[in-house]
Amino acid sequence: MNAWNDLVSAALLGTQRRRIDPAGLPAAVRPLVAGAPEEALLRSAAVLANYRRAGHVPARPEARLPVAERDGRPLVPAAARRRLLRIPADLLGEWLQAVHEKGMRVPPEHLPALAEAARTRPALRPPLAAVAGPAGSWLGERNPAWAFLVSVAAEADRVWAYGGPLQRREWLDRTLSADPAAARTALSSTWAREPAGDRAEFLAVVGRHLDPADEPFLENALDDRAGQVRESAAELLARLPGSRLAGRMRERAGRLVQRDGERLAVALPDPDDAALLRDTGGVRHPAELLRRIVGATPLNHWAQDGTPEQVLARPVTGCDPGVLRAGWTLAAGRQRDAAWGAAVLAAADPASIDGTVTEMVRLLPAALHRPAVGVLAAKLSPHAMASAVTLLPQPWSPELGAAVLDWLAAHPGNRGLGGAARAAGRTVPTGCLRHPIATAPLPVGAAPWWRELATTLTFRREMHEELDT
Amino acid sequence: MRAVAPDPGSVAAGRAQAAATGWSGLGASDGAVWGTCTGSGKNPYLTCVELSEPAFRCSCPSRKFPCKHALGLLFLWADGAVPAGEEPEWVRGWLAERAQRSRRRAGRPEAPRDPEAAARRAEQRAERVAAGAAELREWLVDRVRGGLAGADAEELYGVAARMVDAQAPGLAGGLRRAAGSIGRGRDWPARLLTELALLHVLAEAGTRLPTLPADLAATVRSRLGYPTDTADVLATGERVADEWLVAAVTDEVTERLTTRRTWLRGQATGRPALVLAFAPPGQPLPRTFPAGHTVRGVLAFYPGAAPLRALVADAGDPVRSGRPAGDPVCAALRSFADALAADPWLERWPLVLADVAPVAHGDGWALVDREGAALPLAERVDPWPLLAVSAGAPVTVAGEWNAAGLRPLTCWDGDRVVRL
Repeated sequence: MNAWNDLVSAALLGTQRRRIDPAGLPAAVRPLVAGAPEEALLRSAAVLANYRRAGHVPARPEARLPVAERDGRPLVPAAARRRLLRIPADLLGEWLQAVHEKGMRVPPEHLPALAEAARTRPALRPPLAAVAGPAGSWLGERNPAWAFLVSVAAEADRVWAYGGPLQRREWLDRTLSADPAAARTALSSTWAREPAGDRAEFLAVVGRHLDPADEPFLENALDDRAGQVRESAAELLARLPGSRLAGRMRERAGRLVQRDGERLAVALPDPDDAALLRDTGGVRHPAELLRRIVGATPLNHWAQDGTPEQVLARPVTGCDPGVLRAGWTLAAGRQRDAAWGAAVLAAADPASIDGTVTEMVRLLPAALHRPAVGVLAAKLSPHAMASAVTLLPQPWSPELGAAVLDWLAAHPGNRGLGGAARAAGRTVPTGCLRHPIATAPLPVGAAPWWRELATTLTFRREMHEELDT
Repeated sequence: MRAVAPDPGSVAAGRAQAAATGWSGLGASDGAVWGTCTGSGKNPYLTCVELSEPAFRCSCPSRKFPCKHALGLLFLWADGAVPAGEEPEWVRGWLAERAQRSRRRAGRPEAPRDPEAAARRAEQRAERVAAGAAELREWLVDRVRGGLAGADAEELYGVAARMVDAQAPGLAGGLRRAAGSIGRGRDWPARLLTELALLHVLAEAGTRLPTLPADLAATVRSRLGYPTDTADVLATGERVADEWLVAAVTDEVTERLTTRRTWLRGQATGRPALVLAFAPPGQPLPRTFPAGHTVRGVLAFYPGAAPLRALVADAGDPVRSGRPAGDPVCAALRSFADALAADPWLERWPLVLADVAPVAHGDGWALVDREGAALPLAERVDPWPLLAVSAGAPVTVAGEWNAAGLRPLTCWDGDRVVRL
């Protein structure tokens, strides 16, 4: 090895400055070295270089890696394997979910690329972890960037104590469905030690499994050091109509919004009211405070003023009527109230239809989804309707999907509907994939989105069909 | 049909196309069969097969040749599902184009077979190569006297260009590789010296070709870049009949050329073989065998001291193979050392390693066999697909070995072949 290093440094410096020492060369090489020093160097370097190449000594590593448990699930069919390479990123989640539901697995050599995709798209992580199985766990343990693949089942005991923030959130999410009492105990036991950012994230997870039993815990969190945590806690409590916070809000609403004949007379809340600030997370703008009060007040409080339609139609004095409406919209969403949802949707001012209004569609039974789309379409220009479509709450029911596709099919030549068509193509449930847009010939003069939508629907249909073969 | 299809997958795809309902305008004349087929693209594909050769045309973007539409069309025709008809305009256009091209080819004068002139040209070339080799040796001596630390890539590319003029592309290629290594990675001086020292030996050997044993002379000539006539290889090269495992297929794409290396391994003889195929960028490569298949047939090897490169003289249909037998690490390394002793300019060597499992090795990864011997993976290799297939368990891996480490190209997941 030394002889080689000597050659390399002599070559770097030049034989003018440094001669090689033939005595340092292996005995077998020495006789080959003759002539000018440059030739001698080049010749011995050629021999030594190939000595080194030919004489490569294999390493003898001590440690071995564990072997992943065998995955007995069948691979996806060949057609699906070929398709995997051309599935657009935004359909990957759906494909993975379908593969998982069929009890199949993806060819393992594709797992690294899928894990890379899931690194930037967290929504892909749970379905990918499911189809990746033990091989995915094994990869996740080797590559920290893919730790989300590590199966929680195998790690259950350690994840909450030692896992990364994301793993811990996923553990909490799963455990809140499987064993809510254990999850709440684990959360309370470490709550005081968690960083503020993590506390807020954990509350968001709790929100996905909200239960009246969470009230005492959330009531405490209203006094949290971090504003973000206080605000999340207030938001969650507002979704529990039986909570003490809801009771306090009902009392405030009763005081601030009063009947004055046909009208509702409003007094804006005091932005310096400390108790109010505690219950709303800390904003100090009077109109915003009012919206939050109404948004957290149980909707049955307004029954004394009439049906939801009647209440929404009452003239308002003392503040912008939009503030009250926004509060009721918020409350209808939080309290999952179908009657209020339908009324808010029907009364919505076209100018103020946003995500919280379209959210009302979720509150309605599926049978009312088609009329709801009708209400929106009647209020809005096709262009505004296209924006509203992208805000409709997901997942869509088959009724909602069919209604949106029918609405699109009624405007074949409108070039402004591309965004809505794209959203619909990816969001309609599988029952809608044979909609006439996908199966009938392209209408004359159809806008470019039509073909793209038809292609997406067909692609998805084939994607599901080939998993059945 | 299998004789014209690029791979068995295409035969199946062609079958599926034949069964598809998307065909319209089908027709056949004495010379051709045609039809249009709805594919995933915007416009239907126009597909036409000229029956005499056969020759294929299709407007689809497939890089397989012939594509599944052409094969499907041929299947339909063979099944008697294509009615006789008159060639439409676009088919006539294509046929006319082909006829014109073949007329042009036929019109080109055949190279006159003049043995004296050929001998004269060979002599001239030998003189130019010898002069180039001598010039390279002089330059190397100067460079080493002054020190490689002062070498810059531009200078090496300049010398490489002169070697091209001297009709010694092998020397030019070595210089370009050397130029590319300057300043790259911690051990670049060692790699640069290795490359230049081997070039020096090659140039030296090039000046005394007539004194070398015939096999070694053939190796030196091919390393210098003398062309070898494939007809000669087929006529006089060593012929080896075997059942050949297609261990690995890899494409290297540069600006000017796509090179496909197909590594074969005789199941009975244990002989490794390399079949090269070339295509200009964007053009389909000639038909090659798919990895993980076996092919019964005869290879004709190029002459040389360690014959590796070969031509397919005669071959049957590729058959899907299960997991092949492989070697332990030490045996594989011995085969490389033996080959290197015969051909010191050997760049890469094919390995098929049996039952190797991944282990962490320094900053990277290695594969360890049942005897505990391990080979490092080359740094540039993405190890993860192989790691995912193995998930810690031993797998069979075929790949290329060189100074940079092992580059895995194929592995087997049970009996399923995986191209990495």
